[in-house]
Amino acid sequence: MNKKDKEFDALVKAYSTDIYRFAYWLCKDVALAEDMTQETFTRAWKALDSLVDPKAAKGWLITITRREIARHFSKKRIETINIQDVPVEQLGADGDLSQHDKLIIHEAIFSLDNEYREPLLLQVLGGFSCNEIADMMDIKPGAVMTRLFRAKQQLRQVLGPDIKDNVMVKL
Amino acid sequence: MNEKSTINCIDVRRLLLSNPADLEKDTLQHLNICPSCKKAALDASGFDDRLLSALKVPVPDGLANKILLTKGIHENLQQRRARNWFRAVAASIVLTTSIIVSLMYPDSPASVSDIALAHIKAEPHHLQDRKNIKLTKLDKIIKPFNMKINISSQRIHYAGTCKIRRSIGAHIVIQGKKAPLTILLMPDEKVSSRQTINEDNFSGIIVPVKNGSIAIIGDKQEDLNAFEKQIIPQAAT
Ligand SMILES: [Zn+2]
Ligand SMILES: [Zn+2]
Repeated sequence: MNKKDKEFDALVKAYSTDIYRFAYWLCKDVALAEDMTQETFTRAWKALDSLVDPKAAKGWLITITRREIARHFSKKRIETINIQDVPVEQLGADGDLSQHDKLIIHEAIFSLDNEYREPLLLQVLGGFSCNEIADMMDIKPGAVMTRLFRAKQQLRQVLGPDIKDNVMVKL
Repeated sequence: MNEKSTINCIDVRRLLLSNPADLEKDTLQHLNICPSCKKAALDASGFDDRLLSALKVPVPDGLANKILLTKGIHENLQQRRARNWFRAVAASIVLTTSIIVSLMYPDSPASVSDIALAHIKAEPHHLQDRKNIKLTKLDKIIKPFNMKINISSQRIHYAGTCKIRRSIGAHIVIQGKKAPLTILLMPDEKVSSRQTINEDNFSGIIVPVKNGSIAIIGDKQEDLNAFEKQIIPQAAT
């Protein structure tokens, strides 16, 4: 393997999971999320020389993914029939949340408008700071804070501070 | 120290929700002297943890390897087009087949009304429940499904979430005029038009709504039209 191959290999191993999940939460479609992940890395491979700072790789990849998803949805606006609701398997079995809790969170997150969902994903899933999110989304840090604040307020209204107390599986 | 700090509790709460990873020195100082904000900080980080755990959906098997294998880039692009084309063709075949099947077999076992009825029969105990659920609890249960229903004047005997075929729906039992009445919110089950059920001792209706369908199923003697108008007013024609 040459240097570029190795670099790419490391990127895929380190970030494909994050990119897939990010795409899933923006597309609500497992097949499309996988396509978008593939597409992201295809483009990343072609543009690898433009990534100077390996520490910035994750943000760089996410930027590619956001662009690909935007491109996809602008092209396919007419045929964006979302036939896929959330299958139970897609919720995942691990973690300390029950399937019911996860479904409730799932629906609550998908019910957020894109402009609120995206910064939330970037913060919680991506681990980016307000300033980094502001750079990626090309909005002011203050606007990012406001959106994050509202997104979490909205989720908390649905979920409560402790989800387990508020999701009545058995009453 | 404290007097120098210009930050107040409201600012801190805002920062905890919007920028918890990047708290600045004055915020951290405030947390040390303000127990209620400190508790809010712990709450917020617990909330973020739960959120993160829900966001970590399963990833397709061997995703990284697939990406590396398809690195032959142009070839990959072509494959992707072919895959999309194949998927589209496959989807249209499935759709056509299911239309043909449903035309040939109107009682196909996969119909939404069968699923709804089977679900109720599988859980007869819920028709016996008398839990007197409060409306606020009902609201919390049905809110994620994003389907408006109006139950205000009936006693609610049971409300919970259930697996209905492939996904999770809401299962509600209220008091009808003759007997308990079941309402199922089925986000994954689409019907093209309103359907009626008349089977065994049950009568019922399935009403299509924006994001799925709602079933109202009760005793054979029950007048469901009145309930339908009340419970799902937006679907009334
Ligand atoms: Zn305080
Ligand atoms: Zn049930």
